[in-house]
Amino acid sequence: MQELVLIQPGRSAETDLQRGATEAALRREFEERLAECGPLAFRVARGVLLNTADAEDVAQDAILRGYRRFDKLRDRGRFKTWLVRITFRLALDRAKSSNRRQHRETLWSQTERKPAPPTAEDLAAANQFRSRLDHAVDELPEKQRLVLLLSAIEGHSLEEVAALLNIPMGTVKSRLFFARKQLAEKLR
Amino acid sequence: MTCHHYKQALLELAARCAEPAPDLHAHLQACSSCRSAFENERNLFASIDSCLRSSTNAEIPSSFIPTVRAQLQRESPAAQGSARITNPLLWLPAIGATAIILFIFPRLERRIKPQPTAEHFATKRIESPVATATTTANPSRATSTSITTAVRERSASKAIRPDKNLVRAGSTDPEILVPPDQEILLARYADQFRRHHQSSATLLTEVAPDQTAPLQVPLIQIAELDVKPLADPQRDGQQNDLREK
Repeated sequence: MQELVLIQPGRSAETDLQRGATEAALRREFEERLAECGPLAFRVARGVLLNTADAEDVAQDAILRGYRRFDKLRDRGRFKTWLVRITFRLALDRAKSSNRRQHRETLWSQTERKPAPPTAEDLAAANQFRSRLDHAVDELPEKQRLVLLLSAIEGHSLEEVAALLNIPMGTVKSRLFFARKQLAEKLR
Repeated sequence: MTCHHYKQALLELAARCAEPAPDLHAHLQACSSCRSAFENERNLFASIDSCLRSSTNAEIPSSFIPTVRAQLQRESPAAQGSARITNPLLWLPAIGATAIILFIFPRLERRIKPQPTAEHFATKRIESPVATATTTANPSRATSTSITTAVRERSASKAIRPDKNLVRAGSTDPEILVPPDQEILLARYADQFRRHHQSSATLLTEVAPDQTAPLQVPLIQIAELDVKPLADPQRDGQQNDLREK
């Protein structure tokens, strides 16, 4: 005997409509947050990479990842925290890979014994203090570095940094203190 | 308290961006070296902060948010659905799996499979229907009642094609070369034929010889046929005369 399956075409169309409406609402919500979180993601990436083009790439990547997982976030109020962390992580990865690439290129140029022409980066690194500072910041522990970075972004008080990272205010202060102290020791 | 201790406290103050306590303040007023060291530290931290601020608060490119919005548009489910079909990366696993099935598995199987031995080519003797029929019809040709078929594993594969001498060893019976995918079917068919043949043979033995005599059918009695002509020639001639008149 042939098996019969009970279907309800009217109801499935209704479900599709509901799903479409939910997706549209999610998208609207995300775009509203984008206006606030997008620049923050860019600034975090820029603070790590010190390069606008790379920072743009990394921030876009982080935002897209956030969008893909936005509907799965249990607490959407913490989206900003999540985005800051993922941007910071992606920026660190990018910085490491670019450092490796730079190292390889340096080795290659050494073996070839070619005088490297001055690039825009070299010119930017002419400021000795800045390059030493960048180097010192690179060596900071990640937690301290993130707090230092966020506190350096305009309009971010220490309370906001604590709220953003979901950590106590005392932790933010201590991390910032140790980070600054370490930087000063290396730059002195 | 010595200047060394004051300096340590002042450095920490500078790192915290805090104002000195009254006793430290009094020492700074009195000690010029501590004051200059404190000023240097403050300047150092100020330059650190300004560098960090300048690097983190760089101007956001005007194209940043529109580019992100455009990418989000591309990420929408409808666009994703159409992109999935055309995305070559999604086809790669399927292509890879097909390649593995087509090329790698047969080669691996060939490598793993041991070299064929004489046992692999052990012959299987099955009775051919044709040969059995011949036997019943003509018992004198009993020597050709069976057909030897080489039972081989994957005889289609050239790598393990059996040695003909091995197959023929110890047998003078006729042979049939059977395609590898038909040997089982042939064996089944032969088995069925053998069983049916045996049952028919038992039926034949039980039949009495007098029952096999030809049937006596009485001849059909047909009466003589009365043949009548279809047309009357005299009547036709009269009708023609009337028409001429």
